[in-house]
Amino acid sequence: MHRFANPTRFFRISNAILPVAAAGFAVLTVLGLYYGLIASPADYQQGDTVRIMYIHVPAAYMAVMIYAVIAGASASVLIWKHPLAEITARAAAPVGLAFTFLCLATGSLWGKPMWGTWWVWDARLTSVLILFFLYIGYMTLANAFDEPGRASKPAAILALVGVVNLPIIKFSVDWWNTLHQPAALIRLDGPTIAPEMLTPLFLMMGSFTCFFILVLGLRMRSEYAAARLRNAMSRGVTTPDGVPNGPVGREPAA
Amino acid sequence: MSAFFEMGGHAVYIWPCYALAAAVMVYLLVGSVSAMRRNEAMAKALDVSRRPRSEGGANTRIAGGSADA
Amino acid sequence: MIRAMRAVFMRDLRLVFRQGADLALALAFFLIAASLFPLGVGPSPETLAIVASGVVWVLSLLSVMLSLDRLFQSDYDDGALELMAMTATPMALLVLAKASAHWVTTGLPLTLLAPVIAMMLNLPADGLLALVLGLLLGTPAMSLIGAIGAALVLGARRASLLTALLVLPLYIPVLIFGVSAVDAAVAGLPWRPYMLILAAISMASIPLAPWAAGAAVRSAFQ
Repeated sequence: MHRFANPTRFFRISNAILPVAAAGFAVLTVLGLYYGLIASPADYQQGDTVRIMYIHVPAAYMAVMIYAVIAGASASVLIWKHPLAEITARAAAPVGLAFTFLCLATGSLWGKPMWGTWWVWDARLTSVLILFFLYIGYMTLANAFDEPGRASKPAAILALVGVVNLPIIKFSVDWWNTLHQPAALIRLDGPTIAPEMLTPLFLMMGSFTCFFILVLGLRMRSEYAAARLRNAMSRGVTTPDGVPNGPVGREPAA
Repeated sequence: MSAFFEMGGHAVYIWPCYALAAAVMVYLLVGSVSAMRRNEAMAKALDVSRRPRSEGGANTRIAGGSADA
Repeated sequence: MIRAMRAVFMRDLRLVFRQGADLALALAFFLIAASLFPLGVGPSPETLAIVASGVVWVLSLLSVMLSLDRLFQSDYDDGALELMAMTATPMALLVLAKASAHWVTTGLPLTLLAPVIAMMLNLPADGLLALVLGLLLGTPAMSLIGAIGAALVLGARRASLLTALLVLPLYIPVLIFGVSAVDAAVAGLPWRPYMLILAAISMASIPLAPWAAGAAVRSAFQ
C-alpha cells in the first residue's frame, strides 16, 4: 500500500510517465484541433459555435475529475496518512481551479451567441461556480497554517465535505429544467452527439487528461521539494544564500 | 481560408475561447516548470549545505524527512 | 455521554446569555444591514417586495456566519476545547451539542426577528409563513455546516475571514431552496417541496457535519 511512499520510486515512475504524457498531449492536441476546427461539420442548429464545445466540455470534465482526484487523495490522507497523497492533492488543486475557470469562461463565450447572455443563474452554472469557490477555499486553507503538515487534515476534510457538490453538478441539468442543455455524453442510452463531433471531443478530453498528468507530475515534484524546504526551515535551517521564504510560499514557523 | 477564420460569423466567440484555453494551459505549464526548478534548486542547495561532501541526486534523497509531518 | 453533551450545551448557552453582547451583535447586524437595503435599492415598496425574501435570507446567512467564530475559537484560545477533546465523549457529540447551543442563540432568534424585518421590507403576507418555516428548517443546517468551517480554521491565519470563504459556498443550497420557497408562496405556488428539501439538508447535516467538524477539531490538537 505504501509502495509510493518511497520517493525514489515515485521519481522513477514519474520520470517514466512524464514523457509519455507530454507526447500524448502533443499528438492528441494536434489531432483534436484538426478534427475540431477543420474536419468536423458545423452544427445544424448552433453553427460554428459548436466548436466551443471541444474546449468547454473537456474543461468541465477536467474540473470535476480533478476534484475527484483531490477528494480521493484526501481520503487517503485521512485513512492511510500516505505522505504522497497530500502532495498529490496540493499539486492538483491549482490545475483544477484553472480548468474550472476555463470551463466557466468558455461557457460564457458560448452562452452569449446561443442564449443571448453571458451568464445565467441556472443550476449547472451555479454549481460549477460553487466548485470554483471550493477550489479557492481548499487552496487557501491548505496554505493557511504556519506549522508544516498541520494543514493536511483540515484541507483533506474540506475536500471530502465538498464532494457533495459533484453529484449536484452531474445531475443539475436533469433535476432542474434550465437553459443549459441536458446530458449528452454520459447517459444510459448512449451519447446523443453526432459521431463526427464525438471524435474531436474525445481527442480533446484525452489531450487535457494528458496535460493534467504532465502538470500534476511536475507540480508534485515541486511540492515535494517545497515540503522538504518547509520542514527544514521550521527546524531553523536556511539555505546558503539565505532565502527564508518566497518561493515556498510560506513563512518559517520558528 | 478567410471563411475558416470567420467561423460562420461567430469568430468573436470561438477564437477567444481557444486563445483563452491556450493561455491558461501555457501559464500552468510554464508556472509549474519554473516553480519546480526553483524549489528543487533550493532543496538541492539545502542538501549541499548540510552535507558538503555529497554530490548530485538531490531529487531522490530524503534530507528533510517525510513530506508529511 | 448524554450528560456530557447536556453539560456542554448548557455551558455554551450560559456563556452567551451572560455575555449578552454576542447574541445582541448578530441580531443588531441583521437589523442594521437590512435597513441599508431600502437606502441602497430605493424605498419604493414594489422594489422592496421583490428583493425582500432574498435580503432576509442572505442577511440571516451572514449573521449566522459572523457568529461562527464563538463556536470554537474562544474555547480553543483558552484551552477548554483541548480539555473537551481529551474526554472520553466522542468529539462529534460535543460538536453536536455546541452546534445546537449555537443554533438556539443565533438561528432561533434570527428566525423570530425575520418576519419583522420582512414586513419592514414589504414582503407580501403570503410569503411570511414560508419564510419563517424555511428559516426554522434551514438554520440548523447553517449552524451545523458552519461548525465544520469554524473547526477547520482553528489555528489558521486570519481564521474568521477564512471561515467565510469556506462556509459561504456550502450555504448556497440552503439559500437557494429557502428563497425559492418564499417566492413560490408569494406567487401562490406549492412551497411544501422546498420545506422538505430544507428539512432533508438539516437532517443529513445532523450526523455528517459533527463527524467532519469533530475530526477537524481533533486534528487541531496533534
